Amino acid sequence: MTNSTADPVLSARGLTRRYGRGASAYTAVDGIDLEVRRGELFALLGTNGAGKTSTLEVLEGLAPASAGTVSVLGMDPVADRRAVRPRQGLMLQSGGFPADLTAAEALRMWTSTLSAPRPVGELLAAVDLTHRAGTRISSLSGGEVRRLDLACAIAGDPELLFLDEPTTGLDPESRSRAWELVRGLKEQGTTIVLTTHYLDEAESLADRLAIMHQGRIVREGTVDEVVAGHPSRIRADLPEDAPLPPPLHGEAVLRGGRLEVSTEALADDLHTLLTWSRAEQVPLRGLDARAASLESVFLTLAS
Amino acid sequence: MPAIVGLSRAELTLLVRNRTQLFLALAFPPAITVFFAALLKDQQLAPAQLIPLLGAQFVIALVFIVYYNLLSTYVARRQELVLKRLRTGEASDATVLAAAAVPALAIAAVMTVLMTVLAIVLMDLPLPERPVLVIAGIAAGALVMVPLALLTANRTRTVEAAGVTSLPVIALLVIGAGAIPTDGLPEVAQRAISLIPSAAMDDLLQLGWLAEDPWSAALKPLGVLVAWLVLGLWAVQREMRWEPRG
Repeated sequence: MTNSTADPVLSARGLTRRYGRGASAYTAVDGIDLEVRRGELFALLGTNGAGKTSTLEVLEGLAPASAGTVSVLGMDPVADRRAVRPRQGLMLQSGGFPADLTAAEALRMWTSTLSAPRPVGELLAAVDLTHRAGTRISSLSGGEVRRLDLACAIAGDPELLFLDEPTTGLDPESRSRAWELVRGLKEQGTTIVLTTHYLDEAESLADRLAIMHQGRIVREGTVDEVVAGHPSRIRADLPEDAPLPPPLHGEAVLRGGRLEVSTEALADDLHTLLTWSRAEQVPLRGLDARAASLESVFLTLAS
Repeated sequence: MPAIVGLSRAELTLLVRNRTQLFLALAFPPAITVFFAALLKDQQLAPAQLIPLLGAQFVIALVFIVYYNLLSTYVARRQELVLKRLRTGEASDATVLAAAAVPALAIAAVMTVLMTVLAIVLMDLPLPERPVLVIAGIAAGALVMVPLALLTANRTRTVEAAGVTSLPVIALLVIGAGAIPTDGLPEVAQRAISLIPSAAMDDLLQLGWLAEDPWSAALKPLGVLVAWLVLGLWAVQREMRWEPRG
């Protein structure tokens, strides 16, 4: 079986997911198209209720699509799950361990169900939980449970990894360790599909991303592609008696003393504004100038 | 290691760590037999009267060791999202459910043997004439408890609620084990009661121990138990709740 790097590991066309029936039916995912190539890290972002987890569950083969087609590793993730499951790993959003088992016992329980698992000791070391191997799940911190979740996801050495909000609720140190681990996996050639609330996570880890809103994909591409064409922003608070600001390339709005400029020519407009401020002796309090970022794109789309 | 072995081993560990469940499963059943033996010490009961009493003790034991134990276990695993997680892996749905049942059924086997030995020693019970029917009856009775536990679990929101949701099934099984004297009841009621799994199990114990009836008489109670098992598993497969609601 040859898989060129251009072959999509995962592709979906018109993926739809509906809950309920008839009048009370709710469409969580409204006919989306997706493609993830081998070895890339694809991030799925979205507002709450955008349909990320519903989409992920269909891609993972945990639920059938209501309409559309999904192909994972060239197969149907639900119908062919016997063949697909050994090659994929996934991390649920939360939970799934009996409270009275130790971390090592829980991992052993999980790996006993896999056809080709890595040794439990190795997995615990990979997520830095060796020192907690004998601790009961009920005594582990939230971050430690999440790391155990990750250990389960990579236990079968999968080609394809699904991570559903992997760092939600983690302290900053655990988050950056998780990022390290994910980057390491990517370097080994694992294809990763990740959903997240954290835009910095997506910016830092993703090769390509898609932003979902109300069941549809509204932006897609690399971080640069998604951000391109979105304006930069300059903000400042002007005193009450200030004269009108000078003409700028971008669109300026002055409301209640607060100036907000939305512009494609950040440096030029900033220069104009600063020069005007010095010439007219107008202080620019709380001056904030930032180029378009994933965050600004996201906030624009979400509103 | 095959999945069922690893999962059952984990379930056994969890059972051992749950002191209440363990006590109910290990100490309670033999205690019932000893209690009955002490109660009936002075009465010279014939085997024909002792067998139904032993049958009732087996039903009680199976209710605790298998039915109620598995009911709490399945609800706990569902609420902890363990069932959900296990189903994301390579194990089949059947394996995931069977794993919890294995330790319970193993303990049931050991306990019923122990209770039989105690009954023979303490109550002067003769050895069974047709042991294979006795074993078949107890084994089938124990197996039927599994889908009963699953079906009840699907209607039980929390582990604590199991104390209440288990009552209908326990009441049914107790009636089948002879709690209601059947002599005065109309034919229809008597036949209905004979279809209860615990009644069918008691019939097989009777046929197996005393050999007063031909072998063919065992077909009906065996059929009843097999029907319960098959229908029960079919119903479970159709409506199994793998995740907490909402």
